[in-house]
Amino acid sequence: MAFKDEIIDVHGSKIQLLSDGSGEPLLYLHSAGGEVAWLPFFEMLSRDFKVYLPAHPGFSKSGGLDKIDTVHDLVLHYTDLMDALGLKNALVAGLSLGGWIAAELAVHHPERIRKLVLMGAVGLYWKGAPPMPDIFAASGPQTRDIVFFDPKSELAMAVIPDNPTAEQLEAALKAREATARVGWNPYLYDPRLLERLYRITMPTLLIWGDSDRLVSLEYGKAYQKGIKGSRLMTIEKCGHAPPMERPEPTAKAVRDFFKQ
Amino acid sequence: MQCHLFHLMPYPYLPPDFDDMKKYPTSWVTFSNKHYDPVKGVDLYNRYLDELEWAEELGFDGVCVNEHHQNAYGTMPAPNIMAAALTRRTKRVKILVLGNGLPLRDHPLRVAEEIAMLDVMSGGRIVSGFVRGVGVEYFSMGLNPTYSRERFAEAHDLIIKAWTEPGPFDFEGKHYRVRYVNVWPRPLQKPHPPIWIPSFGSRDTGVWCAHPSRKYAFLSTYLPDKTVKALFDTCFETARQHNYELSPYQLGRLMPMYVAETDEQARREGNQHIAWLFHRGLRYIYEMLFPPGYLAPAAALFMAKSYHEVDWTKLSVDQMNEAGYCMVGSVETVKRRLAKSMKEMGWGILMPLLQIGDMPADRTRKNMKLFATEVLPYLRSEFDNLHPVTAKSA
Repeated sequence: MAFKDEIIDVHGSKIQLLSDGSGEPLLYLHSAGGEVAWLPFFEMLSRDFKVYLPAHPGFSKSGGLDKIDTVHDLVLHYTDLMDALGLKNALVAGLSLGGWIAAELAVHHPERIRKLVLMGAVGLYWKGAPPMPDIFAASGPQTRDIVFFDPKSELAMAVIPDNPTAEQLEAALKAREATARVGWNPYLYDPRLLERLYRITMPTLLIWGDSDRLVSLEYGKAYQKGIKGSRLMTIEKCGHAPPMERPEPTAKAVRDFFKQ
Repeated sequence: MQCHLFHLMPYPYLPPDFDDMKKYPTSWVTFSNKHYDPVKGVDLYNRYLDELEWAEELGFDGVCVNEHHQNAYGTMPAPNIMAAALTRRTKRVKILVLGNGLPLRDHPLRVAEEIAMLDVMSGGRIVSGFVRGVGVEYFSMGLNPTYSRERFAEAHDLIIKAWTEPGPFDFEGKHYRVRYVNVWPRPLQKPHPPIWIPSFGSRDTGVWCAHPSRKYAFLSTYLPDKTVKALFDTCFETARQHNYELSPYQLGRLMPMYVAETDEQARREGNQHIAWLFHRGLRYIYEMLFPPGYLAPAAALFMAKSYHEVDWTKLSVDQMNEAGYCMVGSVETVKRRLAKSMKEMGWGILMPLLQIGDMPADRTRKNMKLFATEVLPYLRSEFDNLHPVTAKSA
C-alpha cells in the first residue's frame, strides 16, 4: 500500500486525506457511505492521475462538521481544500452525495474544475423520477438492497456488514450524521440546483448504474438535460455505486474521459 | 412524596393482525392513520379526560399530559390543548405538561406563550416539561435531528429568558433570532413554572438537571431498577460536587402500574395491557428511533452496541415486572416494592401510568381506585415526614 493517509488542516478543520499516483490532479468526492479507503477503483486511477480522496467534514477521521449547515458550506470547504493543496483547478469526480457536492462546486466555481464526472449524483428534485428511498430509515440489509445490484454479494456484505466492528459502527454513525446535516430536509437535494445547471460549462460525463435503486437513471437524465453538452453513460449490472460494484469499467470510463 | 397520574391517551383499536411484525413493523410514523377512527376518538378523548379529572377527586397531586406524534401509542400531539381542557375542569391538582418537544416546534416562543397562558388560566398549577421528542418524531416533522440537541438548549434558554426578563429584548441565537421578545401573558409562578425533564436514560440529562443553576426534576421513564439507580446516583453525585444536597423532589419515576387484590389477579388482569404498551404501542424501527445525530456520538455508539438489551419486544411482561420497567402486583406487593425503591434510590415523585394500552374504562377505574385508596395513603404516611414537600419543589 503506497497511498498516503494523512490529516491536513483546512482553515481549522482537521481533514483526513488519502492520496496516491502522479499526473494531473483528480479530486474524488465520496458518497454518503463514506468510502474513505484505497479501493481498487482509486488504485486504477492513480496509474494516470494524482488522486486525492478527502473525507468530507464529519466523515471517517475528519472533523469540522460544526462549520457545515448546508451543501454550500461544503462547496466553500472544497475551494479551501483545493487552496490548501495548491490546486488552481482539478479533474473532479463525485459519487452520490459527492456528486451533488461536485455539481454545486461546478455551479459556483466553474473555474476550479477542468472536467467533471458525476456518478449516481443526488442533489436534484425531479418530478418525473420515482422518489428516492429514505436511507435514514433503512436498516443495514435494506440499505444493501437499495445500494447494490447484488445485495448478497461479498462486496455488499463487506461494505455493510451484519455484525460491524466497533470501528465500522463508529464510521457508519458519523457518516449518517454528516449526511443528514446537509441532506435531511430537503432530502438530499438543493431546490435551486436544477435551474442553475446551465452554469456548468466544463466537459461533463454522467455515469449511472443501470440498476440504481436509490437515485434512478431519471435523475441522470435530468442532469444531462440541464448540463449542456454532457454525456450520460450507464454501467451494466450495477447499482448505486459503480466505483465499488464495477470498478474496472467505471475507472476506464473516467480515465478515458479525463484523458481525451 | 408527590404522586401525579400519568396518561398517554392511547388508541387501542389496532388491526387484529397487528402482531404480524412484517406487516406492521411499527405503530409510529408509518403506521397509517387510516386506522384511526375519529368517531371512536370522540369517546376516547372524553373518557380519558374524565379519568384525569377523577384523579383530583381520588387525591392525586397532579395529572400529566404529554406530546407524541403520528402513532397509536399516545394521541396527544398537542399536550397544551389537553392541559387547557383540564384547567377548567380541575381546581386543585397540578397540571404537568411532560412535555413540550422544544426542538419540534418551529418557534420556542409559542411554548413560552402557551405555558404562560396555561399557568395564568390555572392559577399557577402548571409544571412545564421540556423534551426533545422521541427520535422518530424527527421523521414525523421533517426536522433535522442533527440539530436536536443544540435546538433544545437554545430554545430552553430563550424560553427561560422570555419568562424571567422584562421585554422587549433581542435574542440572537443560531436557530432562533427574534428582534422583539416580549411574551404576553407572563407566567404566574415565580420565577417561572417548575421545569421537569423526562428522560429515556441519558446520564448527561441527569447531570444537566441536577446542576445548581437549574435543579430541574429528572424523571425516568420505563427504565428498569438497575438503570434508574445508576442515573439517580449520578444526580446525587452531581449535587454533591456542587456542594448541595439533592432533594427527593428532583427525582421522579414514571411507571406503568397495575394493582389488584392478589399478585395472581394483578397478572391475570394487568399483563395483557402492559404487553400492549411495550409490544405494540412502543414498537419502533430502530433506525427511526435513533435518527442521525439525535444522540451525542458516544451515546449513539453505546446504544448501537447495547440496544438488544433494551429491546422490549424480546421481554415478557413478567420479566419486565421483575426488572422494574413496570409494576404488577397485589396492594401489599406494590406498597413494598415502591417503598423499597423510594428508600433505596431517594426519589420523591411518583408518576403511575394507570390506564395502560388497551385497558378498558372499568378496569382503569378499578386500578386507579385501588391505587389511590390503598397504596397512596401508605406512601404518604411513610414518606411525607421523610420528604416534606417544600414550596420550591412545587
